[in-house]
Amino acid sequence: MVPTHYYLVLAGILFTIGVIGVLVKRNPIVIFMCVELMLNAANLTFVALGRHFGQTNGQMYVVFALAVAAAEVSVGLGIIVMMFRQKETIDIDEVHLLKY
Amino acid sequence: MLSYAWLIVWLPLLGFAHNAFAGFLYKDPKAAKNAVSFVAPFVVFASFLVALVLLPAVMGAPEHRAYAGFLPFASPDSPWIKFGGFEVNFALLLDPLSLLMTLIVTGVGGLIHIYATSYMETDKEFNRFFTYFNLFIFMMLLLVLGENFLLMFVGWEGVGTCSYLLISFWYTETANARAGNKAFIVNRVGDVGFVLGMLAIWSVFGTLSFFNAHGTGVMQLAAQHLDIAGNALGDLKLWFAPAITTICILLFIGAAGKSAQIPLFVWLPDAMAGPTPVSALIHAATMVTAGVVMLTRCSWLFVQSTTALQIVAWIGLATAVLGATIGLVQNDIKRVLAYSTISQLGYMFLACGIGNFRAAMFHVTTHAFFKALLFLGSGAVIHSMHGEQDMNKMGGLKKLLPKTWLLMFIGTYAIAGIFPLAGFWSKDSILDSAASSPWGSGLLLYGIGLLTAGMTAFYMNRMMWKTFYTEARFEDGKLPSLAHGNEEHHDDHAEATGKVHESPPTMLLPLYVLAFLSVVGGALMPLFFGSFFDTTIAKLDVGSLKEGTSVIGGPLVGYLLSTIVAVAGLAAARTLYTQRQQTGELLAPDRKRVNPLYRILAAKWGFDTLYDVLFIRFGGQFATKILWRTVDQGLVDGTISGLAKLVGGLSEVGRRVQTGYVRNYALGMLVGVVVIVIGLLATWQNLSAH
Amino acid sequence: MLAPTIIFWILALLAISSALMVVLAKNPVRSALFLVITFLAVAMFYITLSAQFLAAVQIMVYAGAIMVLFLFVIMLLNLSAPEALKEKGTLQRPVAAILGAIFITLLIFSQALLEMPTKPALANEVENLGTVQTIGLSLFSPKLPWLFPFEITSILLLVAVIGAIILAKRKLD
Repeated sequence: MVPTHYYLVLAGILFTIGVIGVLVKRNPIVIFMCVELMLNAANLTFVALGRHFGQTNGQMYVVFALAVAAAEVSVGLGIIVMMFRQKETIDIDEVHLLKY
Repeated sequence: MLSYAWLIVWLPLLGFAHNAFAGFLYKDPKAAKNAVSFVAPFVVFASFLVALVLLPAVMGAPEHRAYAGFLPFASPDSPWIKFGGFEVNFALLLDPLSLLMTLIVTGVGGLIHIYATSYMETDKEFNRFFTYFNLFIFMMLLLVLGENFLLMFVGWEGVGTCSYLLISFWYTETANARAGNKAFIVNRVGDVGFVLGMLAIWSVFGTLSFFNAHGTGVMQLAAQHLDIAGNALGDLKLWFAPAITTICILLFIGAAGKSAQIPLFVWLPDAMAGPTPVSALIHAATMVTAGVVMLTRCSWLFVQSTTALQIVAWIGLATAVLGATIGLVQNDIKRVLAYSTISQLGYMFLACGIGNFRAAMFHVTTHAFFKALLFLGSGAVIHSMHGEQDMNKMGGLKKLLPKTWLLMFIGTYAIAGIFPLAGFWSKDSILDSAASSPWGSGLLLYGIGLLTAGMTAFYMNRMMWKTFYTEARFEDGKLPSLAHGNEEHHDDHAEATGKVHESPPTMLLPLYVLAFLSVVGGALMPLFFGSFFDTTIAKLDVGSLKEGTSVIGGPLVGYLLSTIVAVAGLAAARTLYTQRQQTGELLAPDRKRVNPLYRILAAKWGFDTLYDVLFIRFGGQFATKILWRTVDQGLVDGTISGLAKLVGGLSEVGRRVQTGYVRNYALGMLVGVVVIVIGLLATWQNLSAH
Repeated sequence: MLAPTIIFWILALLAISSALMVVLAKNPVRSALFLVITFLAVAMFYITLSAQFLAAVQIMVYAGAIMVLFLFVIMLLNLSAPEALKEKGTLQRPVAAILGAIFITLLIFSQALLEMPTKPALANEVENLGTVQTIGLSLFSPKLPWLFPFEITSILLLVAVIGAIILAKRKLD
């Protein structure tokens, strides 16, 4: 059996890639996709640890996380669409009204 | 009987209240004025009577010392301030010294009050004048009757305040206001010494009372070299002597401010800007002698320090010389008397410095008589001359004002020290004790003192000659009226004619009394040198200080010498000024500008100029450029606004974090996460040391 | 080497490389497609971890619904042009790179140091850990706490639908 911490390290790598993607990309949709990547890494961690301890808890968390992620995606994309309507550009750097 | 002693102090206070509110109490202004002119002198004489009545009771008390409460019907132990180890009571000390001063203040003061009701008759602010006048009497009595240094200090400051109020009575003239300021401020400089002296006394002795029923007053403790807890102070010889010397010097600084000694005398001539009764009361008879009174009160301290005595004596002598020399060249009749007062005060301090406090107090008494007489007489002259004060514009008044002339004549001869007038006895007792100085330099002290006595006679007779003798240097009938401030209307007949006229009887009557006292005042001499003051003035019997032997061979020689000198001074003045009928001046104007001696004296030995440059110019520049701009604005304000600017600056930098870009914020979050993870890993318990 | 290990490494390689391509691709459509591959890889992982139900759901929901939604929006906004805009002169990229490196180091480091408290379960015991039956029993069992969140999730989805509709509407006339 593959040791559990292999999965954890893998999840960590995926998570970090997602983080860097959030920080570096300028298209909000792509940023959002990287957020989904982070969520998936977390889900992977849950499942791996759930299997490590022999409980279903890990997978239950993932079920709900999945549902929430779906809801969140729909709302988030709605926001992005609104943003595009306002500004006619998809560059997250254009949204800087809180600049000092 | 003694429980009524508070009346002495409270009667003038009630007079003050009455006069202050006379406008409210009486509907008719004329009635108010009449009430004030009755009440003001009345309360002063009433105090005089109470003091007189209490005198036998005090002399019958143990050690001739009685204590009474300051508050009405209160006991002398009623506390005023009481915290920690510091206790001061509201009490009055009745002993020969304080009663003597009370009688002088209220007696002479009462006479001056009567005079003033006539002198200030035409003044619009009549009531205000007597409000201040009564307040002054109250404060002065508090000063002399206070049982402790603090009450005395209250009176001390009070008389300074009243002096300011009265000098700048005609405040609409800027010069008068400035004179008042000068008096008060110079006084305050001296007060620093007084306060420091008080603090020093408390720290050494533990109490501020002069005398105490339990024997724990400062003077009693000093005489026995103890402090209030009974610890012997003399054992620590190393510090006791310097401590006493320091205390005495500090107290002397206070006295110098109040009694116009070098270098704090500059206010007294300027104080002549006030009405003449003010000059008579405050700057001749009472307030300026407060310093002498204080030194005498502390005689038990001073006799323990030869250094302090020497300082007092030499400064007193120098002041006497200074006053006399400047008086030689004054043309304003009041200024002559002002410098004369400075000079006579110098004599009193000289006496204190020799250790002969009795002679000093004797001179205080006789000086009160004849100086008040002289001032009031000069006031009569000024009044008759419709406000003219310059002696060069007088002359020949003997014919026109015979009564005034006679009174001034008596005063002049009294101050010159001609036998058998009062001044002869008191001044000679001072000179005689100077000759027998217990710490040496007798010949020098006596010689300079004698010379100054000659100068005194000279300038006083000069004043008489320029004023009363010689030919008139004005046109009678055409005198311009030099109104001094608030005169509402003048005597119709005199104003219409501009003629010189004799003063009214109300003004002359007190002068007769004072003249009488100036003549017979010498009879008080046995009182001063007898046993009357034994318990209240210290004797010279400490250490090496004993009564010395006279360097001139005895008092009789002294009498002879001083009479010769006085007569010579009088004669010299008469001769010189008889020759100057027209101008009245000894030196011609062009000679005046060149003569170096004249110029030094006319410039008052440069003190005013020195103070002006040092404190006003230099001090002003220092205060403005350094203290204000650099320290206050730069340092203090700079620190505060610097802090504000610092915050602003930091904020200016800090706000750049808010870029508005979401990605930057996300980066910030990542930074936080990294920090937290590092923190967790560093402190995680389950970490194994792989 | 056992077969599971080989499979793990292949899948890991796939997942990481497609994740990297998500970030590195210039075209958002390509990013989306690479993300789909990543999801598929993760689904494979779920299977190896005995979470069979989840693997199926992952593909259905994530790859099937969410990514389709993403692609719809990308097409809607018609962004085929790559980001030609100049990056503003910030420290964003370098700092992000450094921090990312630090972060991953930390994660790996912590894995290396941590001791897992219990022994892993045996393979045959957990074979049925993620079957539909097991998941269903856990979800609806009154003894376990998962029923309530299950019901609430339906409301959550309702709210999300309403929200999405309102957000995407044009202005109310």
